[in-house]
Amino acid sequence: MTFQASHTRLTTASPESVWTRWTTAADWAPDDPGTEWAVFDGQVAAGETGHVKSAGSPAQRFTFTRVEHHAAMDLAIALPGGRLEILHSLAETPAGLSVTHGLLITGPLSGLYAAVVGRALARELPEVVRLVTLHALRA
Amino acid sequence: MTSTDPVPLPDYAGEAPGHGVERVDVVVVGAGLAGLTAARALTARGLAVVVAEASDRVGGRTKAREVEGSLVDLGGTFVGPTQDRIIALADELGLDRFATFDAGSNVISWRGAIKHYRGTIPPIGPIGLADIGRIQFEIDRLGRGIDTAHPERSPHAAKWDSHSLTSWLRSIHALPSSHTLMSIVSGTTWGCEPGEISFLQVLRYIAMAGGISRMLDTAGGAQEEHFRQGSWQVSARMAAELGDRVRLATPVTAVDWTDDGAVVTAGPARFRAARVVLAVPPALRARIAFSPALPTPYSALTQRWPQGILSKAYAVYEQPFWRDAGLSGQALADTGPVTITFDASPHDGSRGILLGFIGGDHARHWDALPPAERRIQALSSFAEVFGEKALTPLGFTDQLWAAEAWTGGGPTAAPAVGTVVSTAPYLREPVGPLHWAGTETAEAWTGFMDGAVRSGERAAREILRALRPFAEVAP
Repeated sequence: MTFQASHTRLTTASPESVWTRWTTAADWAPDDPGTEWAVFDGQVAAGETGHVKSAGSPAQRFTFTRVEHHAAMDLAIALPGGRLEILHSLAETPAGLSVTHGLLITGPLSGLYAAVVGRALARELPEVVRLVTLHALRA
Repeated sequence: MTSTDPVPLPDYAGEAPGHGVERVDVVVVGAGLAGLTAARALTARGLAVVVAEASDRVGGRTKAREVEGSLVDLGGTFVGPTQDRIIALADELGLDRFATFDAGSNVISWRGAIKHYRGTIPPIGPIGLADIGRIQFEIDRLGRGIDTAHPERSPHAAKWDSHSLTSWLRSIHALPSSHTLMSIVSGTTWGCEPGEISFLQVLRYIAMAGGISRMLDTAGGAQEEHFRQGSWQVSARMAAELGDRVRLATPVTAVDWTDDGAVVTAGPARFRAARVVLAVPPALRARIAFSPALPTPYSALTQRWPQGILSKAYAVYEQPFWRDAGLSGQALADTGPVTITFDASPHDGSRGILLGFIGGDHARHWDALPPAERRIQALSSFAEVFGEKALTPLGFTDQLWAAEAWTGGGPTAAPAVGTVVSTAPYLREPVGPLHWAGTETAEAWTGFMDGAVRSGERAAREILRALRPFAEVAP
């Protein structure tokens, strides 16, 4: 059983500026009203780790699972009986730069996590993408 | 003297005749639908009228633009049942109406999923539907008890005025889905977030429209029809009739008044008149220096009825391609920036035109973006509900009403919590020779073009009664 959601927005911002927002830990909180802070333990590369603190919950350790320069950056948070993946992708299209943020919850307790945090996170996705692209435009 | 004879001008207080002061019976401030309607009615009864318009165009909150050979209404667009005054006026002026296209399925982008549906009830789940149903029932029920002309006299007026739409929804334990839907309604109806507007005004406004369904529906509702020649033509044709009585780029900066008349200053021009019609949004009354100052409640009104923020985006396509997919062109989205769309194609379907509304916080964010980013984000919203073809229009335009210097926002004023009871009594009550018009002052369909026309007609009646007490004036 899985729960997934995503939101895509087209923008005139450059791939470089969006990528910089994603790969700069200090930019996560300004780009996501639900995030208090984030730190990376090392480079932004698959297998590397970091910590993120969301409002109202303890800091979580995460692992970068996919990092493709100017294309994708995914990370995963292990949960008891489940796994939360935060997905980011970029694609240049004839109409503009397509920026997608998504989330995927898997595991035996995915239904519970979907109800507890997944739907709320999903509702925030459009605002997060709006802020990422807005701040990227200003870069 | 017959009722059509010009009214003899009294010797008004203030400056002596001459010295470049033009003498008229009535100065109308603002050449929107309300002001022009008043001017037209007064002129028809033989009064000498000047309309001073600050902008370089007439129409107020109606405006037209041509995009790839197609006309689009940048402001007020639709008309519907019981909007009798705008329809009668448009008929008189020779405008034609046609039904807004609504055949096929509507689309909703809701919680990350795209769904098609028929009718007016979006598929948001049985619990969500039940909740929004009870909210609609309750708002309509409470609205029926509101004295729309004098909301301050309504039962529980102070209580409802102490609530915003948001706080009232919380008080009845509305579900998050209902908060989201009412946020979409608030953004496009009042150009504000539900937390910004007095719940008393919400009840009053919806009651004046005849209920939520009539206000929001297409067939049988306020979006039922639009004008083939565009709604701006109503103003344009009235202005053409009025000829050089309409003075463009003539912003009124001062009104010196006594009980007997007023001297109106508009840049280098000065007009001496028996009566003045101020047909501008309440907030814009503050730009005029009144001497003596208006009584305190009137000044408070100018501060407490701010304009909403509403923008519109139009994309023009070779064909209304969504119709081929069985879609009506009407969509709702909980994502934005565009939250509501309509098919605004010409009556013959010779082009496909999508109209998107962006209101409240979405408009605050979107208006601040560079034009290219606004375009791509609006098209992205269209594509989300109608597919990739929406990304490649022949033409695109947008209208940011908050950026209009002489309108200050739109579509209407959104009075804040706790302000309606204390200020509504002064919306249209004349002060000496000063009369008030504009859609906010209407007693029916406030916020709509019909309300603007009604307010202009009412202001004209007030003046005719005052200046021609023995003439027959329609009630």
